[in-house]
Amino acid sequence: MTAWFEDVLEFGNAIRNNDAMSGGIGPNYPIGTALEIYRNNYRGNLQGALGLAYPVIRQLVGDEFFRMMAIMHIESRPSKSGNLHDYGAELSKFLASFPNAQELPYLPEIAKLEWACHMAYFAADIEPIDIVLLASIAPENQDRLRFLLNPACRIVRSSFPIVDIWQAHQPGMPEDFLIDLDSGPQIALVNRRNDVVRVEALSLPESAWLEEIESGATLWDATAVVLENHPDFDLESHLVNWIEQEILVDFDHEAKEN
Amino acid sequence: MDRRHVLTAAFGSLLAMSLMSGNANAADKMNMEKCWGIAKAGHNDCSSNKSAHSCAGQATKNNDPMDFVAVPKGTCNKIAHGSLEPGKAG
Amino acid sequence: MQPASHFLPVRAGIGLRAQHYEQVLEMLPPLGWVEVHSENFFEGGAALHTLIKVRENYPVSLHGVGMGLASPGPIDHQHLSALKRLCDRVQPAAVSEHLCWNSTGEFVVNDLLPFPYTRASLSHVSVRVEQVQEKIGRRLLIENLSSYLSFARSEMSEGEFLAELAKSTGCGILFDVNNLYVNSKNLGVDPESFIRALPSNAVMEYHLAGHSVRDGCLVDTHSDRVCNEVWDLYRLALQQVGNRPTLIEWDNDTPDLSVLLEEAGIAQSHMEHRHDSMV
Repeated sequence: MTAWFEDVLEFGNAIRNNDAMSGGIGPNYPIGTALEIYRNNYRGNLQGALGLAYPVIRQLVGDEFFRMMAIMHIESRPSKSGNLHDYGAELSKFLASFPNAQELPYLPEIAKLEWACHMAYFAADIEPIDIVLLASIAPENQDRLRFLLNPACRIVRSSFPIVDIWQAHQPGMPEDFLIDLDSGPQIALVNRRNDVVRVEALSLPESAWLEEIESGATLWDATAVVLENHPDFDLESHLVNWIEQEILVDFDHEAKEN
Repeated sequence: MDRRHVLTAAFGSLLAMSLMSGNANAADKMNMEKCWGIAKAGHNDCSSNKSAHSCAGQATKNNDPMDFVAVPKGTCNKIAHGSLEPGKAG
Repeated sequence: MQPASHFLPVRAGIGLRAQHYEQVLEMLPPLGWVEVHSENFFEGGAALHTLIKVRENYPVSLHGVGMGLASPGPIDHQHLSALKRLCDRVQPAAVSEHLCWNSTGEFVVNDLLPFPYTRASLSHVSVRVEQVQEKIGRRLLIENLSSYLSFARSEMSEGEFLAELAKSTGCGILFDVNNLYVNSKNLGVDPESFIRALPSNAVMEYHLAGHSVRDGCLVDTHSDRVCNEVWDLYRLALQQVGNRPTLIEWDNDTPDLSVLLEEAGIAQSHMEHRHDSMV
């Protein structure tokens, strides 16, 4: 290894693991003072990133608890990207085994939902679906269509009312809410339209259809699977709605190339 | 179930939608403009930001010895655990 | 309103931060240009669309903080591709990064970290600067760092390193005057020889900012007005290097937009009166 690399690795370990450092010089003050500034920046930048990605978790547990949780998270899960917006993908997993959060069993699922929102916020822009082309597809080809979901779109299943909890913590919502955890499980749909990240609750057949589509099923296969268990599933109104909401943003069909 | 019937109905609505699409786009553009600075209940504000990146050093100390707060003290006390007593953790 | 140009005018600009987006877009103050941190606008959505609106009114400089040009491992191609896509969308007037590393290969320290300035590190950084320039298809500006420690292994000064880097890669130099001041106080760097070491024609931009003091060490917190000593150094740079696009940076305890505009006005007037002070 090149000699200067060793200095760099030693410096990195001094910041992250509080190791000693021999190759550095701090002429006007002890080297420890310099390292403390770097350690502070390191933790502060990651804490800041977690705070921006998880505003609901932060409100739920309070600033002090959040800070402590963030410090422990940083200890156990280092950053892997120069883009701070990538940091914190595993907070849900971390919370599931975080002893101090065991009283709040819904936290990991809220974290999963917030990460989906965070990803949606930065997801690539889309072109709206070509509705004229879609509507002109010949009847004999309709059932073999495959739809593509918006890259911002995520479905988060939970055994708790995560959509209600998330909504209650958005800016401008009344502060005096009360949510009954036993009010039932919710399936959240995250999407972004006109730059606004939205979260809404899906019914079972809705989520089943979207998940079929997400996994690459054709229009008819997805619909048939859902109709089997939910005979009153209304494809017509859902299709129109999900295209309007930019949840279905493209389709894949031979007709398109012609 | 009647595959033809389901798909014909759905594509009938898509056709109607495609005939309206010019108007819909205009309405969307107006929404975009109005989006600035408003926070619709239940949606996050589209002007909100996630600017995690800075080239400045941290102004606040983030590595103070941990004054360990073991108990969450936030809005979690407004989420009642039906089978246990409400707000136990808060 | 004249169309926003594809180069940075030799005027003062400000670092545009989220709390001022709306105000700047409404008021459209008479700024020469603005600079933002590239990584805050990667991919799509509200942040990028705001920046595109800003770009319709001002030349935009994209200032990266996450590339880690001196990291030991290979360059992060995902990061580089995201920067390339951002450049394609925004058509910036300048693209810059820092002379620093951020990744050990095992983990990333999301900060701007110094390294030993040696022949070996110079050739390592040169290769990576060239990779970036090739990918984005334009000249990259590299900024000098504020450092809180230096390395016994260094064979040259940071100024000499930057001069060599500019010579070997054709990159430009972003001269952060506050960083130089911080290093002069913390590490005993001589500001005049730093400025002498820089090839004037490679210096493409200045940065000015405030700092704070912690345990006898100056910390580059960008949390205050530019101090008198930094204004003095800036005037010295204007005389020795010449007028260049100059940025006021403020990241922590960000004040009202008017304070930033005031600071930018001071920089502007120093540029306009450069020859007056050359007695």
